Amino acid sequence: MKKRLEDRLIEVAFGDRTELTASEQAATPEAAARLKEYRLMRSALSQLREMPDHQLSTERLRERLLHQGLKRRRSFPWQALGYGIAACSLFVCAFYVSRDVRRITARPPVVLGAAPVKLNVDEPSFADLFGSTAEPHNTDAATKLSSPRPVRQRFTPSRNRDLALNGGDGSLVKLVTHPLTSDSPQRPVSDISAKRVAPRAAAASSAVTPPPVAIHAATVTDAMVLIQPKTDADSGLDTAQEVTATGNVLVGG
Amino acid sequence: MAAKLALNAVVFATAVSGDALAASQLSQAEQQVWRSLQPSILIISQAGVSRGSAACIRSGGFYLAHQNSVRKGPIDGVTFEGQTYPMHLVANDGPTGLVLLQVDGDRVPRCTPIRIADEDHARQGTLLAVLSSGPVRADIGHPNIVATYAATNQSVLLNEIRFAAPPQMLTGALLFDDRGNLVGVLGATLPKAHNIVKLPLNSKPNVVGAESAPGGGRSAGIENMKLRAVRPLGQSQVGPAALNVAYAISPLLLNRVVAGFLSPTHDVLHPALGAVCTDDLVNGVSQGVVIRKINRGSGAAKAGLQVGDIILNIEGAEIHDVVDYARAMLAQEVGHRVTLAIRRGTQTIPIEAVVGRVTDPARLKQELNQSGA
Repeated sequence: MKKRLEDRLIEVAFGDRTELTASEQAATPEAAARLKEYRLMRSALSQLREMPDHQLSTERLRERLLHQGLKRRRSFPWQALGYGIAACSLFVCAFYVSRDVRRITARPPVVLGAAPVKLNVDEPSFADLFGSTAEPHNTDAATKLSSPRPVRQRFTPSRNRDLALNGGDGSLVKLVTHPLTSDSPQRPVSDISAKRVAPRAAAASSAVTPPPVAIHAATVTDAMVLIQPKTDADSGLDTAQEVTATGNVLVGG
Repeated sequence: MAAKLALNAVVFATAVSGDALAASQLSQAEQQVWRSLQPSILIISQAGVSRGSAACIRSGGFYLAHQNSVRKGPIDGVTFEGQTYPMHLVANDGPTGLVLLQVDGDRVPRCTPIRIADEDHARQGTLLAVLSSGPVRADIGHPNIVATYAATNQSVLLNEIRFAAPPQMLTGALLFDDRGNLVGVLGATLPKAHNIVKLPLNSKPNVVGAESAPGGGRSAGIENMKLRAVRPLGQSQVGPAALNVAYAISPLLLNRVVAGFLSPTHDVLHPALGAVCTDDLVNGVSQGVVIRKINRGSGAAKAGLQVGDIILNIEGAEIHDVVDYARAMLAQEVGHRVTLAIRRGTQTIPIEAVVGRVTDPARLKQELNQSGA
């Protein structure tokens, strides 16, 4: 039996349709028998006793079947629209909340009671010192030579500013980008710089506000070279030795 | 003598050639610089062996070289055209190791005095290193490194120079920038075990060659000698090869030395207070330099500085460690008054001192004796 015919039989049995057409009755011999079964089902439902309160769902089913039939209500999907609106509202709320959370977390931390960090922009450098226009002592030099021009500052103000602003979070070692050693594999550039700065960075990070000394120390990345009195056998030059820690080095001046 | 020198150069170039040296040419600009420099350079030769190079700093036969290029005995200066001039040692600057040579007699080569590079320009671009066997490209690895002589505790400023030339060629090499200005003179190198910079194997060779050589010029076959060149490692395209690292006196000190050599007394005045210091370490952090020794009669002694004083500031420059101390002192001028902030006990007091000069007569005398002067 086709489903379409069976639906029509149900509609007829439950009162939604008056009668089957002659062609429908004649088309299927078993249609009459099936219609009879559905009518018996309807009568059985009507004879069911009243349901207790806790079985309201069954009662509602029965009432629906008996009084409203099986006719589908093709009304506007208010419920689906409600669900959609609720979902959209939830999505918009989630978006704004997450944006605010990101904004809050990205805000620099506020250190209460900390003294302001002094920017080390005006650090007197070797360039400043060599910028003196004083004439050399040997003024009798017959040849006029170009006087030394000031050297560029070892660290630009912006770099100093970065160091100062980031000086308290222990990231000083990462910011040192001006090593002054050879690039030999035994002594990588970053190695010496890191070793020189590490204890200072550790000391700086241990305090809430890094002391000016620690900030300045982080900008001093110069390694030192010791010139040994012996001569290199291969080149005939003096033998140089890079020094990673200057604590024991005697320097005259 | 010139023929002997050329022969030595050819033999040496042949010995060091092969896989380590490859063929190429200087760029046109570099060749132009090299041609302009040749009249101002002499190759130092002793007993037929080329030991280094010397740069003319004054017409009349005055040349600047490094003491490592000079041994005891007669000194000859050989032009790139093969002419030989006997020379003698005039002055020796102990702190930098530079020497002043002068051509004997009235017959002196015609030369244009070289100019000293200014520091800013010296730090840019590649350099032309004039070895005893010809030019090779090089570059400054790190500028103005504070170096201290272990024997005398005196400090100088050095530029770290890197190039792929064999170490046998480095002695007394002169360094010029792309304008032909003198940038430095090689004086020290790392020990062999530490003196190798390995390059990535997939990098492309970038080589230059010697256009000519002393004693025979292009006809002596030296033009076939090829040397690798280097670029800064951060953007290096050379290799695979081992780079040598050497140190040259910074132009900042070159100016001082040349001015001193050209003075009537040929005396170079390096500033010094006469105080030998070490780091003042507090919890592993150096916050000044503590005076360990004060030379008798020095500016520090006259100013009342004492052993144990901690120097915190010199002329407004904060002193945190011996590197700062060395830089601050190298920037001073002999005879100037400087104000120091020192900590003595719990007090911080200002002290004025007169900057004296570096004196190391024993070392100077020893070096002069060794060089046969």
